[in-house]
Amino acid sequence: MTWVAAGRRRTLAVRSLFAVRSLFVVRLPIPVRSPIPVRSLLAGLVAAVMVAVVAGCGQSGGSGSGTPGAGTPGAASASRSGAVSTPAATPPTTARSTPGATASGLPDGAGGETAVPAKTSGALDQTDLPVATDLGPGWRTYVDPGDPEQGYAGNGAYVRARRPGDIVASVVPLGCAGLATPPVLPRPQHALEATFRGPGEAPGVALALEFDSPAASAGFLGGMARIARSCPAPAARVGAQDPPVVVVTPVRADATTVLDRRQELGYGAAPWLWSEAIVRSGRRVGLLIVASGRGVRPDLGALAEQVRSPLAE
Amino acid sequence: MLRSVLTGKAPLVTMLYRLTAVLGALALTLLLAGLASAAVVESPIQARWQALGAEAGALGAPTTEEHDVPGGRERDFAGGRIYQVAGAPAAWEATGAFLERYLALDGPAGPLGLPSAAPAAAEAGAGALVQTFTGGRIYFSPATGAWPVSGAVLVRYLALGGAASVLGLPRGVEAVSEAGPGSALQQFTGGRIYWSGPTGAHSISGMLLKRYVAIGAAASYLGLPRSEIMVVKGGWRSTFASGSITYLAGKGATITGVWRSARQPVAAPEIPFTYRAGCPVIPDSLSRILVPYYDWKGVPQMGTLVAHSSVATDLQGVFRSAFASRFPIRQIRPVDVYKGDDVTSMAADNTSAFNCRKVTGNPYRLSQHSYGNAIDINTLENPYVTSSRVYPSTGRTFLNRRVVRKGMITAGTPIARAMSARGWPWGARWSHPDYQHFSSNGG
Repeated sequence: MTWVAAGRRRTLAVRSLFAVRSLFVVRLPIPVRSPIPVRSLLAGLVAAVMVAVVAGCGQSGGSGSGTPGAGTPGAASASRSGAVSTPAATPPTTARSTPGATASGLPDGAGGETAVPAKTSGALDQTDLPVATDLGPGWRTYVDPGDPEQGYAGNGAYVRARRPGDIVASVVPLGCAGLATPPVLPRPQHALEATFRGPGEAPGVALALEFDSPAASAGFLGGMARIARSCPAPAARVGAQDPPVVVVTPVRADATTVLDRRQELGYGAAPWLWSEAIVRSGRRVGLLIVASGRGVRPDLGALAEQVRSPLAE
Repeated sequence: MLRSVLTGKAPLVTMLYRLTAVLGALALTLLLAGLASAAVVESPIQARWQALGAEAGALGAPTTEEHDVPGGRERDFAGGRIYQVAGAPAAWEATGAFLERYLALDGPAGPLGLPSAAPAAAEAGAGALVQTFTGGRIYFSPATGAWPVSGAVLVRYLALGGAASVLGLPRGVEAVSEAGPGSALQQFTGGRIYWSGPTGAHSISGMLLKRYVAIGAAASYLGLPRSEIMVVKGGWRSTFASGSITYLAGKGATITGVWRSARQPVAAPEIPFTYRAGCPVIPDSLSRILVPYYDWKGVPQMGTLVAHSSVATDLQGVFRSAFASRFPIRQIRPVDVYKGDDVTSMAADNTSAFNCRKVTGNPYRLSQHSYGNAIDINTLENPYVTSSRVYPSTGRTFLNRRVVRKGMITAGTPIARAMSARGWPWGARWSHPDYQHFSSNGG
């Protein structure tokens, strides 16, 4: 239902855009030899204005309620298929964009998302992410307000676009004994994040990633499977004042699914057990990681299904 | 008898017997005469003992024979010892506190060598004595005790007037200075003399010394003195390896540092809390950047930043600007000092850069500081704001940016200007401002 409704809204928005463009071209009293390039130019200009308006509404219109409806997709995502993509759906860039940063020696994606992120990314929108209530009793969406100190801004919604270049670095767990050289993960074309809260304010995060090819998405999943295998429990006991490490216990890894559980040890370790499901479908990969309190072990198969069912292109 | 032998009037045997007796007596006489002659040529040690009253004098009776020691000879007595430098025409005693200190410093085998004069009145007079040795001096007074001065420190001490100078008498042995091995310090009743190979031996005293000691002396940013105290208009100045202290009457002491910064490699084991396997930048890409700053008391300190090597030059330039204008900074330490805990580091008003970690509650998001291209400065005076909190919480009062207080960054402060000149956007621009935060790419 949600998907159908969103599709209708997008169709209306696109029609409106073309209507405005036609009106503008007819009334313009500019003598031109060949109106076609000018029309194209004007069409682009109008589209940009429309996009800016839509983006502006997106920034200010977030209710902050944290309900799934709060992140209404704008005209930027014309269809669920991902066939139409506009600048509004592209994650924002900052003062020095990634290419410059890379040239300076910083890794791809270094830097935050201090501009207000869009609520969609490419063709990805909130319908491609798990539904909070399906995660289990007590789970709900969570509007992350953003944290400039950490390098990202909120957008008033529980979903937000992520910089694709940032994704490949940030999904790698920190402190894995076997990850001295993490695998180089394929960079997605688009990335969308959703945040949740569960019982006891346990955090949960989902990512929907879209790659340029099924091979790339398969490479990403394979890399995540390798990561899951590379974080065994350290031989020596990790004390509460020791540098933190993360232990990942692989549960399942095949061509479409990686399931594991994570636990942090050492100073500042989160008190949670993390359960992670990573699912691949065509060019897309969905990730879901949820925290649970001591003794609670969410059904990984069920989590995988929550990722898989909205992910299909 | 000899005539009887010579005249042949005695029988031959008797004569032979008598001749033997005569010759034996003659030989004995010559032997005794020789011994008597040898007793007249006495050694310098013996002569000194005799001069000091022999057994009736302060040294009393001998307890050993003369014997060789490094560099000369020695003879011990009940009340002291007498030493002779090899080949020297005279010998000199060591007694009492002088001897005690001398022996504590390994005597003839130690740095002082052998006595080269008797104790005498020191430059200061009034009860202070000094004894010269081949390798230095020992000064003594009842109030201070006996302490040696030697080497370059002694040269400087004597050049300043020795015990008659403002330094007064030594009150300790020369020791390694606060600056560590390769340097030395000797304390006197009125000041100190510091020495190192690069800086030489220089004294410091009075108000300049008091301020120097208060900031950590040779262990401070200033390092070792490299000049004698100079008179300037209205006061005095000492210069050091990395700065100077100027004392002006009525104004007190001002410390000025000389800019010196360095970059060093960082190894993962050195930053175990802020770098872990899986971080987006590897230790080879990071630098330890040493940057001076003026602390809250106007004292130059050396701070340590860990940051991405690609931004090291920018950061050195920014902190050089801040240093030149004496912009106060509380402290600059790697977040590893706080076990990677950003909240604790902020509460401690710590300036820092690299800290690879996940955003709390989101294993799929890295902090901007994970890349080492962002820095937080004076975190307490420049808090940051989220939709619901202020970090650090004790910095809330500084959200009023119109009342500019010490350490606050405003658009006109040298740090903000230097950052802007290098294209580092400031977090203050955000709707939820982050006044402490700058990054090379605006994140």
